[in-house]
Amino acid sequence: MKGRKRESWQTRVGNIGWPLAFILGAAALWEILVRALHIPKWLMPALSVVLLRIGSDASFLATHASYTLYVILAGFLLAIAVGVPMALLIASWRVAEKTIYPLVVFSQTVPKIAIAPLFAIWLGMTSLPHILITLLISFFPIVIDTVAGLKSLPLEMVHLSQSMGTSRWQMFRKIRLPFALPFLFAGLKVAITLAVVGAIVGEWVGSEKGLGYVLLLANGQLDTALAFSAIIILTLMGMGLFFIVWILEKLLTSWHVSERVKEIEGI
Amino acid sequence: MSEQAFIDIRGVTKTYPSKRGDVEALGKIDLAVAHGEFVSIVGPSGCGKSTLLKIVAGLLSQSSGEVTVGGHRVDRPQSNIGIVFQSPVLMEWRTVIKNILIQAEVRHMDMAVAKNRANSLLQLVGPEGFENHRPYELSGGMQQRVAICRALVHDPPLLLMDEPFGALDNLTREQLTLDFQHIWMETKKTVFFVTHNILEAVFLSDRVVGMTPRPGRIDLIEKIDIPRPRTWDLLGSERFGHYVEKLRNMFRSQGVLCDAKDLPGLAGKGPSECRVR
Repeated sequence: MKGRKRESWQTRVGNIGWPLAFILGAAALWEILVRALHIPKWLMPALSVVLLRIGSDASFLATHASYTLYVILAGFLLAIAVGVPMALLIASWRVAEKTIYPLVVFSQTVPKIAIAPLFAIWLGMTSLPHILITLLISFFPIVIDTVAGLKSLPLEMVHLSQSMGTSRWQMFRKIRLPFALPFLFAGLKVAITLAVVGAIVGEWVGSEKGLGYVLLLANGQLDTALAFSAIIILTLMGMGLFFIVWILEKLLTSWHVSERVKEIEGI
Repeated sequence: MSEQAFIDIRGVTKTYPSKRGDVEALGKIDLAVAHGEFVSIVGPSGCGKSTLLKIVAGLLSQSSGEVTVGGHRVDRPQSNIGIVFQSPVLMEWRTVIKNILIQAEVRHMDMAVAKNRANSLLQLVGPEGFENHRPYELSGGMQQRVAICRALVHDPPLLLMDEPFGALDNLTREQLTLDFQHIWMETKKTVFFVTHNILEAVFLSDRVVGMTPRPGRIDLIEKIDIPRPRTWDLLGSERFGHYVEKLRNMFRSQGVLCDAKDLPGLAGKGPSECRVR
């Protein structure tokens, strides 16, 4: 809207300022407590020690981080490629709902950590088992939420499109998919955080690369500073990925009621 | 009559199966609507008037009987129609103009022609100057105007309206009814208009069809012999009152409307035919 007021600089600073102040405060507390209580380095290193470690092992960590990032992205994108068509099938075909849906639920109740070693045995020491575990962990919310979105299309909308002589493909492209998009994004936001977990689980079971491998290595050597380095990088990576999905959601579903709440609150 | 009828409904019934036995929604309906005629169906809630509209649209199948529109048998969803529902059913993700143009996109119409037509419809129907707004930025009345534009942009010969003004406040409703008369006079469509509002039906129609409670049958057909353009000044007129009273009497005899003296407990008289309790 043209007439919408731009956010004042106070609000803008507030939006970034409060979370930032909280994080800085927590970091300072960490640093001060570890130093004041003289906690040994192998038990809990100070934040400054961890940050210095990230700096000194930068290229080592970057190599492994980029591998993990690759696994997360590959698994996540595959989860979309598998999850959305599966949701479409479940939502539009009763037989599929009766056969595929129970399988989807089954795939989630099987503990991933238990089947991960099997993947490693079957697929060897490649990136494939890691990507597969990531896919398996993250596709569930995508399917569930997309099905919910596809199924909640109002009957009148269906009638309307029938009266326009809409083909099945047009119906999907122009009506069903855009209608389900906010639901899909709700699923994607859960899925991207799960994908990070999935990549680490996959790497733990058998890998010579990735931050999951670095974590195992660090734990084995009681190198707590290295473990914290990996955890911090992993967390930042997860937040960054979530942020990207969030931005995409804002751009693509700005029309949806969930994105409009702010305007009402702003009155 | 039925030879040159545009919509011909012959012996149509509808029965829904349910766990407690079949529910008869529509009795036997025979009705012919002429080309360019404005016909309203009034009836109490649940009398099957919306069901009848959906059967004419091919969105529901009848249990028996036959419907033809323009000489063609209706046995699948009709696409040569415009539909307006009680809710605007706009696509939230599309702007006003794109909501109207979805008809053109889906039908592969010439986009330049369609845009021209959409713009002149927005001038006629409204809302003007909101082409690039999203539906949520419009009031309920304006949204319904957009829905009417969408139902007309492909220039269908038949307009089906299912309580189109039913969700609007009274003032908006009055204005939109008045404006819709103007739209109808400009576009000359055949209109099949379902409502439970007697005033609205009499105001707009060439003929008003009154239906009984479920299973819905035609109780009376009233030809409204008032010249157009009609204005709301008619409300006080004897002629208008005559038609309204006739339809109200129909509802009274059905027991759908009750006078206070017939209500149980008040004047002590028992409720004879009265359904309202």
